[in-house]
Amino acid sequence: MKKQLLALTAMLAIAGLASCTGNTEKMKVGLLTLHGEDSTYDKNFIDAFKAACDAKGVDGKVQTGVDEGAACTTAADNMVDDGAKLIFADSFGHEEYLLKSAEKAANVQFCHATGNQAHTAKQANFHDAFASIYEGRYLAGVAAGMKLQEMITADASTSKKIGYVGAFPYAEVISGFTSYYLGVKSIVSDVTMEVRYTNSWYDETAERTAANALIDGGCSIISQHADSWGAPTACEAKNVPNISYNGSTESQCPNTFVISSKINWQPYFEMCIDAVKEGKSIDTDWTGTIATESVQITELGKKAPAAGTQAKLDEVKAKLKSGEIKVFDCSTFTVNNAKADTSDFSKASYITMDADGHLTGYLADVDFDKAYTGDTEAIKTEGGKTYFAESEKRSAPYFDIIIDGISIA
Amino acid sequence: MPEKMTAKKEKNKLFHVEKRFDMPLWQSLLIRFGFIVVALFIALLILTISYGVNPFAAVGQMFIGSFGTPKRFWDFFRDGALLLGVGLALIPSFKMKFWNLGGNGQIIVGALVSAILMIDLGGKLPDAVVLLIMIPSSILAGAVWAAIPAIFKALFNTNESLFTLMMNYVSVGLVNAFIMFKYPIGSHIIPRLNNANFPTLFNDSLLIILIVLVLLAFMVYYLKFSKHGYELSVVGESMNTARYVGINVKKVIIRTIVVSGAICGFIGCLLASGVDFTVMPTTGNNMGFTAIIAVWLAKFNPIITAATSFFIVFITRGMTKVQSDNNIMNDATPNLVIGLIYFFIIGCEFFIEYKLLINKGGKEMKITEFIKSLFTSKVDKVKLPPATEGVEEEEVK
Repeated sequence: MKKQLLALTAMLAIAGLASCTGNTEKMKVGLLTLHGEDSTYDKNFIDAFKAACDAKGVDGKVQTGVDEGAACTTAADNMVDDGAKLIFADSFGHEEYLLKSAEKAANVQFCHATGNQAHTAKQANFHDAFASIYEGRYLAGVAAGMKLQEMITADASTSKKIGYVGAFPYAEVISGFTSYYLGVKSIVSDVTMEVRYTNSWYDETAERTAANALIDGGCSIISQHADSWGAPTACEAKNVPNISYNGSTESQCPNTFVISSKINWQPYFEMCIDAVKEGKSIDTDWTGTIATESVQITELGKKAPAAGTQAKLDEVKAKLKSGEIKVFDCSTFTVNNAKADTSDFSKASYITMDADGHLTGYLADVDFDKAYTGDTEAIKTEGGKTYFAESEKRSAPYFDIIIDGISIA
Repeated sequence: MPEKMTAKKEKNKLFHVEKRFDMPLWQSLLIRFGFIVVALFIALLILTISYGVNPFAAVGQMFIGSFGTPKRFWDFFRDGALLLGVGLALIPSFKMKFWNLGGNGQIIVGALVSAILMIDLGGKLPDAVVLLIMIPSSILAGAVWAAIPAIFKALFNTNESLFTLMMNYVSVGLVNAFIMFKYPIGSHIIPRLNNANFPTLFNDSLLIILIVLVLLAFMVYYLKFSKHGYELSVVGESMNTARYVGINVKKVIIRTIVVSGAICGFIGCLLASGVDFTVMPTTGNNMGFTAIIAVWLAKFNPIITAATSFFIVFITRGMTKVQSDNNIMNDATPNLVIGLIYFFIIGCEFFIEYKLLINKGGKEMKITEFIKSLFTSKVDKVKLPPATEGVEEEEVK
């Protein structure tokens, strides 16, 4: 028995040594995430990262639970010390701290998802990426609109108000809920939406509370841009249809899950890995689209979606691809309330509009500054359509107007 | 009849616990070390079973995580020093049996005041001037934050554990309110503060480490050789004795807690201006609580607290490395392992404080004796014919 134990110990020790000296030839790639796999947002990154590393045969290491502070610099520096040639970070607040690491390690590429400072930072090895997720949100909104229309047809007294749980009051979230709302509005033209912020990316209690408050306030359908299971499970408990984000929530919400939009980060990860392997440069700002498979919608839920949703989605998706539909088509919404806004952070001075309240010009905050000053004209006219050119000037969203029909609680 | 039965039960109790008075230091250290080894073994076993972690490689990764590169090496000593600093802050209040659970809050208000001054004065005044305002202000903030529950304790005998604990939540609320007020849009993160950063010596860590070493020397002197240190330990032993010998108990309570809070406030200043360059609701990373374990294990001895602090930082940093090297995608697993190790270390104190006697056939014996008796009894019962050793062994089983 003793001898067997000794042999086993020796074997394990050898295995340990082997694992230490083994894959020296594989390129090392790192990912820093704000939370772990319990967060739907971070899981979406982790899954894509694993898939990309497997597909490209590189050695991927993930560090979860990286705070949006100096901890991010430390974690990135440690990955550099461990030999990583390419490092990704997944949260908006990581950017500044990742940039600090990038300044120190010129031969390592740093890629930051959702950030907005790369194009002004002028740091050659630092890159931002996002996706035109507003198109995915729009499609999810169409599915929500179909469901709302079905509910109204079944019972004419159904409230035409929908609810949205958002994390923080800035462009990424505002652009997301506006595109979703416009998707719903393309089906039910007189829909209104109430938004509640949780002021956290991941706060299950706050998200559940906000969803419940919206439901109690008469919202017929709920969607969210926050990363826990709080809102979807609150909807399941009250049997209110839910439009999810970051991936399907059907496993825990079989009766209320309609559809989810998500960003598939795998194409970006693979592109960056290839670029580093071949010594090519990575775009300072990269925006994935439906065409690059970066913007995805999940399969429809089995129970909740309205009949005919799939056909409608296919039709709209094709039109988005061809450019026949622009999500932020200025003729589909008005901005009277935003123009009349006199609060501290009013965008009114950047807005020009016609007599009907449709946008004709908007100075967006593309070059990031702390005061969110508008600096770049974002309204474009192309092929007879006037639209807000989201994610064309940089990858991260900059649509930050609260349009008519949306109210902030 | 029932009385007789209980009496009989008493007699046959399997275990009997007795207070120890005579354990030499080397033995108690050996017990602690043994428990740490056992805890690590079980922790690694869990990781091996659930994630296929190679336990031998994991031990190596733990060391690499703390000392593997110059950066990790310095970060390790800096984090250990900061935890020790908080521990040093807690020691005087704990020695006085004032359970200051508000270290976190005192750190956070110190950091908040530093951050506010860095934001509002940084760039407008020379950095040195801002720092000269910042350091005493943070110290004052921490002291005030601790003094509030201390005054209530001294004057109205309120429960200090609850009071200090609740003050933590208030401080987190203050940070959130400040951020909401100052940065109402965006994802509520204060941009990295680049003005009035704490000076550095050779690298980011050395000066902080040296400062905490000075603090350690001060605390050893304060507790052992100063009148204050004597007074607070008398108050801790017995308030009535303290009153009898003419110590102003109220004054000592408030004074000691102010010292405690002031040090925490200063650590907050170091964090905001020299480590994080910002303030967050999570500033201090719960060091106010972690330090309690460090201090408790060290029996409120400042020098041993240094050892326990560095040990805690070692397992924390080590587990972070194990987590990322083995692609463990959640923070719960490393926390579970760290918790398990704490549990074992705290649990082993029982065996140091008490003797466990086992009743076997009416005879009480120590664990070592009991184990010995198990083996000897085997030999007693089974008379082995020398030729059939193997077969007999089977029978025993």
